[in-house]
Amino acid sequence: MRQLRTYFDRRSIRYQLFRLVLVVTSTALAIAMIGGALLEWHKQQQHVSQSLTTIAQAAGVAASAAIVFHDNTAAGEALRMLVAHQEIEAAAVYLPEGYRLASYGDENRLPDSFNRLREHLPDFGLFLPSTTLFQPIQFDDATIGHIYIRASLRDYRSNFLLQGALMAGAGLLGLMLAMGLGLRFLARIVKPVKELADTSRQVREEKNFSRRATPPTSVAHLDEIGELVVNFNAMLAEIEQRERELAIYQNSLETMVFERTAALNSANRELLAAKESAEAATVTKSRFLAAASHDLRQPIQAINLFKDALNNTALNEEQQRISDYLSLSAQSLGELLNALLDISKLDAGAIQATPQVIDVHDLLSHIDAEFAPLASARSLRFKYYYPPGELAFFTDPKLLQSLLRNLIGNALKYTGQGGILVAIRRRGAQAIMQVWDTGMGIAPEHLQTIFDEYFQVANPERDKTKGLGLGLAIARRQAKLLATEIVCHSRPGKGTVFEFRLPLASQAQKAEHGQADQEITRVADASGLVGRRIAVIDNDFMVAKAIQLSLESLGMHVKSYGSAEEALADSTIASADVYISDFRLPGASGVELLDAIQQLVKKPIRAVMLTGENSPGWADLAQTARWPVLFKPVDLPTLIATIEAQDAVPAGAGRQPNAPDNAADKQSGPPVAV
Amino acid sequence: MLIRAGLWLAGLLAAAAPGFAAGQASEQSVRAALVFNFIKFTEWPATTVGEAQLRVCVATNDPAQIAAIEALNNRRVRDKTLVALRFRRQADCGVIYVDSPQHWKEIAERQVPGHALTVGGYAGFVADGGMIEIALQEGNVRFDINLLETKRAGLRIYPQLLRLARRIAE
Repeated sequence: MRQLRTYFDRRSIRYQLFRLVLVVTSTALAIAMIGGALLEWHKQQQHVSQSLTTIAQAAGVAASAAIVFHDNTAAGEALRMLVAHQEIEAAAVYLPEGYRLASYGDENRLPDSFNRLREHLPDFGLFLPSTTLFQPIQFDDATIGHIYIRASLRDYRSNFLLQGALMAGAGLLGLMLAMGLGLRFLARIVKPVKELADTSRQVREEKNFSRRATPPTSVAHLDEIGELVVNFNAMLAEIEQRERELAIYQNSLETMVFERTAALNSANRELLAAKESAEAATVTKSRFLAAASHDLRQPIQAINLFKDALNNTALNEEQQRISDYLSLSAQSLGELLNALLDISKLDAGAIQATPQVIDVHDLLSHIDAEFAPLASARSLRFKYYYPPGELAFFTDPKLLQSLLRNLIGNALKYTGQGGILVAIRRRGAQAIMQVWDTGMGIAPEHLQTIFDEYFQVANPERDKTKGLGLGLAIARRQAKLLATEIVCHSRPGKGTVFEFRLPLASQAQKAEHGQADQEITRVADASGLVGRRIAVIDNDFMVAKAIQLSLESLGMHVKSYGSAEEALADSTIASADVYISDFRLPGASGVELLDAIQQLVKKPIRAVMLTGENSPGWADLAQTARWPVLFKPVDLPTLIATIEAQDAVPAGAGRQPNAPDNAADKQSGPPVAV
Repeated sequence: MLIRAGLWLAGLLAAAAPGFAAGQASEQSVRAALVFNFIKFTEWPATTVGEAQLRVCVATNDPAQIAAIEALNNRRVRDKTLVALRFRRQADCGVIYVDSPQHWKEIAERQVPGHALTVGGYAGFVADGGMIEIALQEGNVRFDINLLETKRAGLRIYPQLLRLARRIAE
């Protein structure tokens, strides 16, 4: 049988059951057999004892007369009846005195002396060859002598062994029968268990939950294993069902996910489109502003120049007053425009900070030059506080100056009496810069909102001379570009301080960057220009006219042209000393025109270019131009200064004077070779 | 047959009468001892079962013999107590011992009492109708048994004793 092997496979249940049956039946049989053996032993013992004592008694009786009459012959004869009992090897009769009256059998097997004998019954032992008996012979209630018998145990022993063998045989037979029956019944248990195990293994390996184990045939005989099978099948059915449901659910989930994804994608696309249109709008706005600023600045430039020209003519008192008001208005306008353009530029992200090493003392001296007169004009003190020794910032100079101008300008505006203090203190690797004023102060609830656009604390009537309220908004953005933050503290009625931190230039930075060239606002001295011939080329008639008039008021001879063609058409164009050209002329760029003129003149020309462009691209272009570029609106002193600078240095290597808006930079380049 | 009769007798007589000195194994005492032993191996008829006494009558003129038999007085054999006396006709004897033919003839003439075991110490006793005839020769003890007579008296002699007899007359 193939199954025979499984009987000995330790892991199988068949083995375990087989072992159970074997152990149990063996134990039972062993115990039974041991019991039987013990009983048999006892029986033989009894048999021996009884048999021999009976024989002894009979022999004693038979020999009693012989004993009484001391007739040893007769006694011997009586003992000879023992021959009937083959197991008796020897026997002897003793008189009370100890004298052996008669003997039977092998005399050598009889004890030597009577004295050592004690009455005893025979024993039975498997390894005893023979046993002995010694008992009194009674006659008429008196012991007349003793009889000694020695008997061989061979027969008894073989009896016992025979019995034992029979029992063992029977036991073995019983064992085999029991095993046979046991195995039969065992199979009935093992079969369903094995099948269940096999089925479960298949299910696990194949992951096939549609398999089932064979259920028990009749529910009436449902034992634990049958129950197990039934439950197992039920569980499989359950799993199958759940899998189906899971698949369905998964499908619907996938559908949902797909739909959601599609929805998200379309939403994304819309957002992207919106973003692009917003960005486009911003770009458009920036470009618009860039374009507009040029157009916006032109009239203002003109106004400034006319104003300057007017001031240079003889005016009576009233006219002077009117001129002053005109100046103020123009200034206002200029400031407003600049503020608006600044903020839109800052918002468009058109401005980037380029940190340089700035000497603090230089900075302060420029600020002083600019604001001290204004302060004293209003009877305000203008003071500085700074630590001793060398001090340098590492930050963008244009932005910083603009920021300071903003704050100090504000301070001047809102301080009626007392003064302004600009303080600088060291704080480790940074410095704190503070602008103190003794003005009206700011209420706590406004401390945050003062930085908002168009917010003015004390201008309910919207007096435009007091600005648009953009100053601090711009200042905030500038501070952000400088990677710092303006903090405001104030006590209404007492004063206000605006402060911010700046990084101090380290030794390494100082060594690497050197000193930034300071932008200098120079007061122009036009005396050296008297009698010079100036050519002005600008398609904006007002601007050209304004420049012409203002320069003529200073004693220069000015000729103006509306376009490059017009200028070049004039044969005297080459005889001018200085050329002032708009950067963007119809049909040609200012650079091209100046180049053409330089070709005519056949030597380097001195020129200044004016432009209203503010976009970053123009800034770069301006940087690379060989002639200084001024941004409109430009004031007379700046123009003069630039022209004079042209005089001082060879043409083509001019410096860029400061402008209210930034993007001007140091001009570098080789001398123009014609 | 006996080899050390003296030893045996000494033991017997010592048990029988402690007063006896060992070595005084006289013929009379031997005969008395024999009678005693015969009694041991004789069974009287059932009618005598109730009787507690067994009279041992001695018919002799020998005072030593009489004394020897009288030494058996009060001995017990099975359920009976021995009473030793001189023979008288009136006495219901269970055992009669004679040592001469003359005494026997006297007893036998007037009818032997029934159920009495007759033991004689002279040769020819059995021929004369006696039951057990004792013969002592050269230290050996021999006896003959007349089964006819014993059967007639209703006595049973144990087979062990029969085996010891020299001659058995049936």
